[in-house]
This record gives sequence, structure tokens and C-alpha cells, in this order.
Amino acid sequence: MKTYLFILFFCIAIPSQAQRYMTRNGYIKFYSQAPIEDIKAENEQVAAILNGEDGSLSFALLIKSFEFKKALMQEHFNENYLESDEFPKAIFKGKILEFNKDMVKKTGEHKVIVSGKLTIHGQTRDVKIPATLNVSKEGIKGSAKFIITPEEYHIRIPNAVRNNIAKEIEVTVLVDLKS
Amino acid sequence: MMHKKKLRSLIAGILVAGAIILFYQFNKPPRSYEKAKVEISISANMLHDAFNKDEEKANHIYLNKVVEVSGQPVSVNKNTNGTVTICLEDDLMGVSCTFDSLYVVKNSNTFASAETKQNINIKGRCDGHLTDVRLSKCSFTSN
Repeated sequence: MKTYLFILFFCIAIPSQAQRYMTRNGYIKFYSQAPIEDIKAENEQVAAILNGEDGSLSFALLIKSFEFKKALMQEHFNENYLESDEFPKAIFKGKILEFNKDMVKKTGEHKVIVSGKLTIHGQTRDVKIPATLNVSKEGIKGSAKFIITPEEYHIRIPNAVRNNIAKEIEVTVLVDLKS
Repeated sequence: MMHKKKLRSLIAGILVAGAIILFYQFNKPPRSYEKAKVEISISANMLHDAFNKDEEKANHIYLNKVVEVSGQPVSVNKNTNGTVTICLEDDLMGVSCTFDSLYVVKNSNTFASAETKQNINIKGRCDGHLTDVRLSKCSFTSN
């Protein structure tokens, strides 16, 4: 009976040890400066999860949750460029390089490199992104800024408007992860 | 002579009108979903099941539609940017409805009482499925 209880306890204790930090309302913005008009869109419904044991992390968002100031831009973004009916999600799966538990346990700012696979518009690419983790009692604030190019993800932009859309798009990530 | 002048001012008028229409079309703000007509009405559980069983098919039916869901609110979360997310039936595997900050300010009373209710109806734009089904630009509809 004792061994049985011990095994049972062990089985319960192991999963609860693997500490996870997550959010369902993370923030991702993209911004591109262009001659006629700057293009900016925000998504405040990003799901993110970080494993405090091994530093693996994943992000998922819905393309349609990106909000623009102008209806026409949002329509073109969804229908012509990102084709969000066919490819509704963008996903990142990866890990923090040279991870140690201090990065998520020790209060303060930690500079890290995140490496993994980013899938947008049905195309998966390897990415390496510098990021910052800000650990406090309330949780972990993660932030990152990186550049992507539409071409890499086979996002076709018609010649007529090609000059109005920047070749490089700046992506800002802010997540407030709670255990 | 008179004729030509009239024709010219007519063409100019049409051009100006066209330019104004184009300008407004180009700068039109995003659609207001608060006034939008409900296209599909369904229970929160059934909507989540539909995405769980066959996501591709569900995307085809629900994506970008104004969907009205009914279900039991399990949590009301105020987000840092002022928006509010109400989860129906389950926090992770249910339907999450996000309300814009402006709507939240105007209807703060309804939000205060939402969590205590057994069942509420919410309509919004269906954005798709992560672990939960996401509705954006939500507003309350009466039962």
C-alpha cells in the first residue's frame, strides 16, 4: 500500500514540477515604414507558453486578429497577402538557447536568444531572435523585436503597390507570462 | 460653346465626386461589429466541438462571420490594454470572446454582473481556433 501511494504521489508530483508560464493575451505588432503610408497592425490575442524546465517555448496567433486603422488595409492584408482563410494561423515553436533555470527564476532582466521555427502563410523558416526576459514576482515579461521580409514567407505583393510596402517588416512581441 | 463649358464642368464634377468617394473608401475605419447582423447563432460548446472535430471545415463555415454564441461564462479577464476577454464554458478549451476597450467603458455594468450569470449571449467576429475558439470585436446580445 505504501509503495502504491508513493508511486501515485510521484506520478502527480512530476507533472506539477514542470513549471509552465503562459498567456492568452500577448501582444504582437508589425510595422513597416513606406513612402505613401506607414503600415501598422496589432494583435492582442497571442497565445504563448514557456516551459520553465527546459526553456522550450511556443507562440500561436490568428492572422484575422490583427487590427488595422483602415478597413481596406485589413481586407487586403487578409484576402490578398496573408490569405488568412487558407492560412489562419502563425506559429512559432522553439527554445531559449543555452537555457538555465535562473533565466525564469532569478528576478531581473535576462538577455536571451530564441531559436526555432516560424510558420507564416504556410511557410516555415528557421529563425534566431534576440529577446529579453524580465522576471519578477508577478511572472515573466518577455519582449522581442525582429525583422521579417514578406518574400521569405511567399507573401506576394503585386507590382502596382510594391513600392508602397516596405521590403522589411518590423515585428514587436510583448508577452506577460504567468505561472 | 455653352455646351462645351457645361460638359466640362460636368466632367470636373464627376471627377471630384469620384475622388471624394475614393478618399473615403481608402480611409474607411474598420467595420463596426456592434451593429452587425448575426450570421450564425450557436452554443459555445457546439462551436468549439465543430473546430475540434474538423478545423478546416469549421474555418470554412465560421471564419470572418458574425457569430453569436451562448454559454456559461467561466472567467472575465481584464487585459492590460483595457480590452476584456470573457471565456465561455472553459478557460482553455472553450470560446474566448474579446471586447474592445471602448465597448468595455460604455457597458461596464454588464461586465460586472457577467461572471455571476448562468448563461450569456455574445456576438463577435470569428477569428479561428488555437486551443479555444476566438471571437473578436464582441458585444452582448439579449437572450
